[in-house]
Amino acid sequence: MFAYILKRLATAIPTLLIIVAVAFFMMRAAPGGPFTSERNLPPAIEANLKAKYNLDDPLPIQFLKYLGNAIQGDFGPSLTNRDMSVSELILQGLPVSLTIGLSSLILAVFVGSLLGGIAALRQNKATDYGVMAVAMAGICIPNFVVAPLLTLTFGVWNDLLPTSGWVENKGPAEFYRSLILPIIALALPQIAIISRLMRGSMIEVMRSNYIRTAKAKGLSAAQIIRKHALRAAILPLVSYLGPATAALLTGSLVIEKIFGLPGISRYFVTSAVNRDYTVVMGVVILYATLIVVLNLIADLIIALLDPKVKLT
Amino acid sequence: MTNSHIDLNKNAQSMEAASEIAGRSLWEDARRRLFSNKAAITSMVILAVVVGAALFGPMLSSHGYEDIRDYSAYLEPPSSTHWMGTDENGRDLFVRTLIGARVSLAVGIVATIVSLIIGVTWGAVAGYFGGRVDNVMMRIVDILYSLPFIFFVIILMVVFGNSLWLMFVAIGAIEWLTMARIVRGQTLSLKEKEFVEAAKAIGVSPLKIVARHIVPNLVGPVVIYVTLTIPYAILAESFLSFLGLGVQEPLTSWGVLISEGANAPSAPWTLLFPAGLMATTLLCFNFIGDGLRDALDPKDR
Repeated sequence: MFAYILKRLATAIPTLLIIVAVAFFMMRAAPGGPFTSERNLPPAIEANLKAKYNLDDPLPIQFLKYLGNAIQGDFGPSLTNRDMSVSELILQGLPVSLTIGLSSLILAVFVGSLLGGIAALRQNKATDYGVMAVAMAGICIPNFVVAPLLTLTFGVWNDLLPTSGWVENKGPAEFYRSLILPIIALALPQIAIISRLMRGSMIEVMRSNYIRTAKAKGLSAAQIIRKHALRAAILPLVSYLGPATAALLTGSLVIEKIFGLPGISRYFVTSAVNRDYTVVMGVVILYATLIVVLNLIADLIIALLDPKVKLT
Repeated sequence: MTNSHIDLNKNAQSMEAASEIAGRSLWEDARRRLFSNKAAITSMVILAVVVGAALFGPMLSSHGYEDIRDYSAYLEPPSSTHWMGTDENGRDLFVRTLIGARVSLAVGIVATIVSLIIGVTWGAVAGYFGGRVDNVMMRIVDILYSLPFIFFVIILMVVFGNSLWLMFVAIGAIEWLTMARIVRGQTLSLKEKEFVEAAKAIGVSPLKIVARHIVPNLVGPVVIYVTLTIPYAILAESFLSFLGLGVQEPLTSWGVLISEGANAPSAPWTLLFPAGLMATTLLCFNFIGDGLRDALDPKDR
C-alpha cells in the first residue's frame, strides 16, 4: 500500500509541476508586462519595480524563484490589490468556495447515486425513463442557465429564497437559506451525470454471476443490494471524483458570479479580466492541486475497495 | 436498446425472407437502425430547422442584429413586430438569438474539427506504433485529463485577447483527449487485422498504413463521438461568453444572450428564448449521438 501511494505521488508531482510551468510561461508570453498599462513610469522607477517583483531576472530563474516561493505558500503580491498578497486573497475566499463546493459535491454524490440506483433497479420502467429524461436535461442545461432560472422561480416570481448568497449579518437561519440556491444550481448537472454513471454500473453489477449466487442462496433483495451490489457499483463513482471536482470548480466560476458570492472563483474571473497575473496563477495552482489530490484519493479508495486492483 | 434488439430480430426475419435478393452492407444496416430510432429522427428534423433558421432567419426579418431601432423600446415583451421581444438596448431578440445560433453552431463545428484532427492523429499513431511510443503518448493524455483545462483557456483568452478564431482553436484543443483514447483503442484491434498484415507484407510504409487503412476504418466510433463533442464545444463557448471572455458585442452568441438575460430578471423572455433554443439544440445532438451509437455499435448496448 505504502509503495502504491509513493508511486501515485511520483506521477502527481510532475503533473503539478507541468501545470505550474504552463500557467507561468503562458502568463509571461503575454504582450506587455503588468506595469505597461499604467502611466508612463520613469525608467528608473520601472526598473526598481521590476527588481522588486523579480521581473528583471531571466525567465527560467524567475520560474525557479516563483516555484520556490510557491512551495512555501508565498504566491507573491496581488498586482491590482496592492496591499493584499495572493495568499491573503485566497484565504479570504476559501471558506465561501469550500462551503459551496463541498456541499454541492456531497449533495450530488448522494442524490445522484440514489436516483441512479433506483433507475437501475427499475430498469426500463416508468421510473427509469423519468430519471433518465431528467438526467439528460440536466446534462444539456448548463449551470449558468439553471442558476438564473432558479433565481427567477424561487426569488423573483415567488419570494421563497434569497437570490444572493453569503449574508452573514442576518443570523444563521437566513445565512443557510441564502446558500440553498447556489448549492443546488452547482450540484444539478453533477447529479445528472452521477445518476447516469450509477445506473450504468448498477445494471452491470446486478447482472453479474455473484449477484445471481447471492440470490440463489436466498438473500433478501435489500441485503444483496447493501452487502454485494453497492460496493462494486460505487467504483465508477469514486473514479469520477476527480473530474467531478474539476467540473464543480469550473461551475463555481459562474455560480459565484450569478449569486454574488465572495469566493475564490469570483476573484479569479475579475483578476483574469484585470490581468492580475499573480492572482490568476495562484488560483490555477490551488485548483489544479485540489484536482490532482482528489484524483489521488479516488485512486487510493478504489485500491482499497476493489480487490482486482493490484497495489504495485 | 430493446428497440434495436427487436429490430434485429425483424431484420433477421426479413433477411431470411429476402435472402435470394441481395446482401445488406454494414452501412445500410446502420442506416435502417438509425431511421427506426424515433428520438434520433425527431432530433435531426428539429436540428435541421434550427440550422435553417440560423442561416436564413436573420435575412427574413426586417430588423438587424445590431440595430438599435428605438431607445424607448428596450426590454419589450414579445409582440408581432419583435417576435421574441427586445433586449436592454432595444435590439430585436429574435434576430439576435438566430445570429447567436450561427456563432454558437460555428464554434461547435470548427472546434470539433480541430479536436477531430488532433485526436484522430494522436490516437491512431499511438495505437498503431504501440510499445513505448504508445506509453508516452497515452501517459500525456492521462496527465492532460486531470488538468482544469477551462482555466487555461481563460488565461489564453485574457493573454491574447478575445479573438473568435483563438477561441475556436482553444476549445478544440481541450476536447480532443477522449477522441484520442477512443481512436487508440480501435486502432489497437484494427492493426491485428489481416488487411493490415497484407499491406505490411507488400511493403507499405507505416504512416501510409495509418492514413489509408486504419483511419478510414475508424469512421464509425469517430462519427458517434463527433456528434457528442459538438454540444460540449457549444457549452464551452457559451460558458466563456457568459463570463465575458468570449464573443464580444455587437456580435453575439447564446452565452452572451443568456448572460444578458440573467441580468434582466424583470424581462424573463430575454433569458428563456436563447436558453431554450440552446438546450433544445444540445438535447438534439445528444439524442442523435445516442441513436448513432445504437445504430453503428449495437453490441455496445
